[in-house]
Amino acid sequence: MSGGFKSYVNMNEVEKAEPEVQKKDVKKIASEVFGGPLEPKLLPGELVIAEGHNVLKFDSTDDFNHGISGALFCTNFKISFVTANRSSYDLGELRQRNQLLSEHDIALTCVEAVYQVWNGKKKRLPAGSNIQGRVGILEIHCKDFRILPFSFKFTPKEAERNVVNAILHHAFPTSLDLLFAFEYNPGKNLRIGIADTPEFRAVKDWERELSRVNLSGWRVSFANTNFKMSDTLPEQFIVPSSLSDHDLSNSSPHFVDGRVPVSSVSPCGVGAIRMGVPWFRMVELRSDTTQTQYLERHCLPSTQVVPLMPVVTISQLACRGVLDSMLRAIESTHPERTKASIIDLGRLCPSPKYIQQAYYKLRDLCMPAGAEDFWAADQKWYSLLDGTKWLQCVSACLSVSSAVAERIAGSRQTVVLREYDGRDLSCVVASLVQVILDCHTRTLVGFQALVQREWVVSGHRFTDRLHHVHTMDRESKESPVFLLFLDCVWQLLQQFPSCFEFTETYLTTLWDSARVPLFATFLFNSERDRYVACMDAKRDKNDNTSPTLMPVWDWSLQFSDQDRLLFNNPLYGGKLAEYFPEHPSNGPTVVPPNPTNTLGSFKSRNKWKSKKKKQASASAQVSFVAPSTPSFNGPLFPINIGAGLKLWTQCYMRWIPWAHTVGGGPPSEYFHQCLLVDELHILNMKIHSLEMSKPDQHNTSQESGMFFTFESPRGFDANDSLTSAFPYSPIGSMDRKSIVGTPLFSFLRRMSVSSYNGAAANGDD
Amino acid sequence: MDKSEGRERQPQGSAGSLSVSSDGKTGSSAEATSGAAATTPGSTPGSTRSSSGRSRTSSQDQAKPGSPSASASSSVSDSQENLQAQELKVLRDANSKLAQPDDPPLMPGEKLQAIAKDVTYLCPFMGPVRGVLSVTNYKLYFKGNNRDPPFIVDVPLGVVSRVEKVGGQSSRGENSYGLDVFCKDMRNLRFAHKQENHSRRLVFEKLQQYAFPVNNKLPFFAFEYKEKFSTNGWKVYSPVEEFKRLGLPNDAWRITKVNENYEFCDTYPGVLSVPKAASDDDLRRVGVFRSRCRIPALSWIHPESQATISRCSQPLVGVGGKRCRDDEKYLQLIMDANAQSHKLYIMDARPNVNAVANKAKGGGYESEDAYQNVELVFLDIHNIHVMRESLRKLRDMLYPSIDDHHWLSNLEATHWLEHIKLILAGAVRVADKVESHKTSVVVHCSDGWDRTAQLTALAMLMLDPFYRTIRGFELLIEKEWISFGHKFATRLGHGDKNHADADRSPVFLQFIDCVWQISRQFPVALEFNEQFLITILDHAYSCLFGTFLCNAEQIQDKEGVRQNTVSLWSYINDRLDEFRNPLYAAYSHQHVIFPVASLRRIELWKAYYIRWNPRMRPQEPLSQRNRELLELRAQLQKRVEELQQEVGTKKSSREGSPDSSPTQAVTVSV
Repeated sequence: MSGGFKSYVNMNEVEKAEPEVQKKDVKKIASEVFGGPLEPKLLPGELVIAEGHNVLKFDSTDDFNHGISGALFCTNFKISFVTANRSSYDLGELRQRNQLLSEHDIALTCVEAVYQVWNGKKKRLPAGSNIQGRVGILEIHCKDFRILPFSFKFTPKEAERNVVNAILHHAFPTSLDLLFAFEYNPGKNLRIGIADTPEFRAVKDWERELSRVNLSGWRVSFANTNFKMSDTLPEQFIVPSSLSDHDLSNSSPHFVDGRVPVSSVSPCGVGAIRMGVPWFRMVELRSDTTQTQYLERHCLPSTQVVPLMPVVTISQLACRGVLDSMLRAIESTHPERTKASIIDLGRLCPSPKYIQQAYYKLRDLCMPAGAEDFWAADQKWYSLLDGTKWLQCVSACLSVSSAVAERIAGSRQTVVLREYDGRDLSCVVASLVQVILDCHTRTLVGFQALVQREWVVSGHRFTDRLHHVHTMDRESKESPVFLLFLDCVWQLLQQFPSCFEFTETYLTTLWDSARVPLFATFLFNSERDRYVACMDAKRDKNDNTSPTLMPVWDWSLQFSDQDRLLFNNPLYGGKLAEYFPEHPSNGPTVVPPNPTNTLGSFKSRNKWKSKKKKQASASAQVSFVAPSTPSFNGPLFPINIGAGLKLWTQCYMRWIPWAHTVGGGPPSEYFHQCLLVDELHILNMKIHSLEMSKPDQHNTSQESGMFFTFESPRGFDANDSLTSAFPYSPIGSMDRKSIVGTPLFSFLRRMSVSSYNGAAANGDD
Repeated sequence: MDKSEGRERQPQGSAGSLSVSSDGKTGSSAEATSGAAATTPGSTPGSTRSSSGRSRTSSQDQAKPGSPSASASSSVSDSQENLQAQELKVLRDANSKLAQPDDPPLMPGEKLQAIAKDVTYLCPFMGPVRGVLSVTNYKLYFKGNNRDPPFIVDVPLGVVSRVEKVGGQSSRGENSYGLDVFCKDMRNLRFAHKQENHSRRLVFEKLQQYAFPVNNKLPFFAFEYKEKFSTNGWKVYSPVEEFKRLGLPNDAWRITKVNENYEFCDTYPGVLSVPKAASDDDLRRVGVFRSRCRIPALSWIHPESQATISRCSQPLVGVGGKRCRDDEKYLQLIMDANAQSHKLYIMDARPNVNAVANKAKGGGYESEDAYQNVELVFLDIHNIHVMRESLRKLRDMLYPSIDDHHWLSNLEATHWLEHIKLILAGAVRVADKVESHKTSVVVHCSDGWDRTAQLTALAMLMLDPFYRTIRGFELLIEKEWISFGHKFATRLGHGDKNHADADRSPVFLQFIDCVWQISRQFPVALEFNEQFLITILDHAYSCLFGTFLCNAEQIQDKEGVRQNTVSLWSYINDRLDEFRNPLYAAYSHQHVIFPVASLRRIELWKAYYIRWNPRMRPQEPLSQRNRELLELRAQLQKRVEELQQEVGTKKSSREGSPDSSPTQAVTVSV
């Protein structure tokens, strides 16, 4: 620990990331904190930049009437509000506790915008600007849809200015190397365990993947070693054995960014036959027409790394030839050599720009300014939600993915996904298809490997799409394509609650973690960018050591063992099948439905661009096949029309107190499922020990892996204080004691009454 | 017992009860269904029932009573075929001696009236299906030819709102000549006949006759239905016992028999609870000032604070702003009966303008000047006509095909969910005044039998955990809806061919929808499941049971409904396992539940409104998974017991005995 920055208790906690320590009572730590002066918990490498005391943190539910007093710090990692008010530690048992960011902390990259509230008016403070006078009330809007208002009424003017200016500067870094990931210095004794999640940076990960899906005719290609062929592809990838690295290198100039077709493979278990049918991700051939068309259509300039390419003129014929030979090689891998079908994602899926606009509208809708705003929007909620078009994006991705999955598993076709540069929607579709077909990707490790393989190393532009770095051309880059993917997975989880090893809390947490600047997983635009950034950071450092780039997959850095149990889905069939081989959901694999079904919806989906109305009656005529109860390891074909989709309320509405059901919501169901599964576990162990006829050797060390258990202290009274926002915001009010009181009272106070026109005023019953 | 045998049998048993449980909304599990058919005999109590006259196998007995619900709730779909196939197989096996294979399965008291071969059902989801159409005095029944599993449409005639002929003798073209059957449960059916078969006339006649018994001077099928059940659902509700449960009579409230013979008020129950200080003569004087004599009467009393919910009709204020000292005094008595508060809320369910407009017709609302310490609140719930129109729009949007383009905006344009929200919000306000402010509330609308019933019943469901049990909910419906004179016959249009009757309205459907919304927000707070609610709605229309047949208790009495028909609760209470919420946690939620009346938390009840569309059925219903967990637990518990017996009783294991686990309290007997 060099430098003069302050360190505090919890640094040790993170370093000794061992279960025993993490199980330490949080309250004990809390009381230690409250014993001393108000100081933020600092991570190794974290520095306090500015601080202000006697800051009030308001409750957004309360129209700035009440606040808790504390100190506000701006560090190079987060904005931290530290309070002596103990109330925030009550009921703490029922919250997911992040060990890096406590309840009132905001990671710098999570800051969406900073507003000044003055005389009831909101003014956005520009990033990087310097504030001279008083701010009064500062409202921080976060990318996770939280709104945190602070008042500097009792803060010395100097300190106020320092803190606000520090936030305005450091929350909007202008280059990637300013992010905390490069500062973080866990020291030598930190064990980096990423819990079996392959990162696909080593050949063995790819080879293991190939052998898992048991495919022949495929190989790992090294054509891109040292990124000599493509700047955005990983150094290794899977290609048909019939294509030599030489072929690849030769044809690569014909593809955008040199991205030759790479394949994603997954087994589609049909009965006992494990047969891998591959599909490909391919980018458009680089030709003048496609590129300009694309640019016109999507208003997307080329990436940072590769400046806008001069138009390479390729004769139409030659171009055709490259494509054909590529396709032939691809088709030759299919056992029956059937013709590959090319799926044009640019036409079938919403563009990143479209997704961005939908997301912006959704964000506005999910961040009401106050109760007034909330209830005003409630009147028109469904049309407002419709207007965001977010669920339409979800619907489009799900239908294209099921159609592709259908072709692969049902009609056994080889599928080629084509997108302009193969780095956005093809990530969504390629990974969704695998979630639909391959039960391994529905396990926690399998899902993480999927994200690593199809998103991280495949070159999804996380830097741009998540807007980690503040640039002026934000509108042209930001697009939460990854969130769209997580939302699609959530829809699948809703429709197939026992087919996933993880819960919706896991998905929400993953999305949150994408915006914690400590982790490098979702930081870069490509593997090459990551490599370059590491080299630069190494050169800048005096001691010539590379920075410790932390993968997000080591969840123990963020959460205690106990809190990580929130990721476990109590209904997961795979787990239950381990215990109980006769479990009903462990039945025979379901044969995917008739091809005409998804093909039909696929065709109608072609109208995405033309936005043709009223195709409903046509698609209703499509014959479909009886949905049969799927087994947890079979393929999942979701309902993907709008009427079958839902809004992911846990992720989008968890910070809106008026929308919370107190003492109910999905968490109360989850709670009881956990207890039930825990009881099953106990019973099973008991049977086991009885069968061994050693009834006293009750092996209690083995846990059921549920967050709520019979023996845990958070047991039975918990249900009453659960809200639908569990495990995020506990009650959402200052007055945590009167649980039932607050949301209801504010509701009644605000309850707006509809004014109908057109309703006949004769009240004849 | 042989150990291996015991193990063998258990999964089978589980499959049986599992299948019974499989939500009718989905009923999609083929395996589960086959299990049901195979294992039902003996797995449900009361299988040894004998029915009138004919001797049957117990399996038939099981399947038959199941058929009304299954048929009403789920038939037009091929995913449903499996279920029906099994059901039918059982029936066919049992019936083979008695009937032709094309004949519909009949319930005791049911008679075949017409049968037409070579009819085509134009299924909006699967296209045309050819088969045999038959009409009985209870149902319309269509069975597809040569399909395995058979394709079946089964519609109780009570659900039919209108039958129309399509095409004439001269009609050309395929399927242009036949019948349109419009239903009250969100679907329409079209059957094409062949002109040369001359089959349409008889089917049409019989449909007209038995779907509209009122116009044909025929009895409702409920009076013909001869099924026997082991429980008597008519005994679910006894007003005196219910008052006793609430601690009445007490110091402030008495029970009056002023309406014993329904002479005081013909739409009120015979037993009423009123303030003790009000004599029967006082009641009569108050009655003069209340529309149809529906005076404020107690619905519920808070066990601790003594705050009450009372209900009544509007006061007869009129244009002149009439006052009635007796009525004012009477409301004062209701206020005084609650020592905790010196205030009384009158919740007028109507929008303000409607209440004002009612003055012109002699009605109106209480003026705060005339009534001391009274606060009047309008809850802005619209009248029956607005609701009917809203449901019509919803139905147009959902059937036969779902208009997916701008789905959410279209949904909003129906205003259906907004009405649901306002009703819920109103009920939350009532419950909040009683619970949080300890203040008594009087609820009324115009006549006090539509919106008032919605509000009081929902508020009581939120306040009192008893009403969240199956029996409690049955009682709640008997009390707040049936005994207080919700006009089921008129609102649902039982047996009346006047399909355009302006008095029809989905008031009760809205109430059940609100209950479903509450069950979504509090998934473990209600003892019953979705299927229970759907079954109630289906049989509100089906006219199979006497429960929802009449407009008032007095008419029920006059027609001898309780003596001559079966109660829906008899049917339901005989098969409680089908209707239980597997995660119901009685030990928690002993207090008030306040749902969030925001459209963000209110959603369309797809399992009811879109249930005919097989594309919209969830492939993996959550309730089924939950039930499986309970199944497994029961199996394991049994296994533990067996093993413990084997090991002997030497040691009483101390650690973590499952018998002491708290969920035991909520174990559902499976």
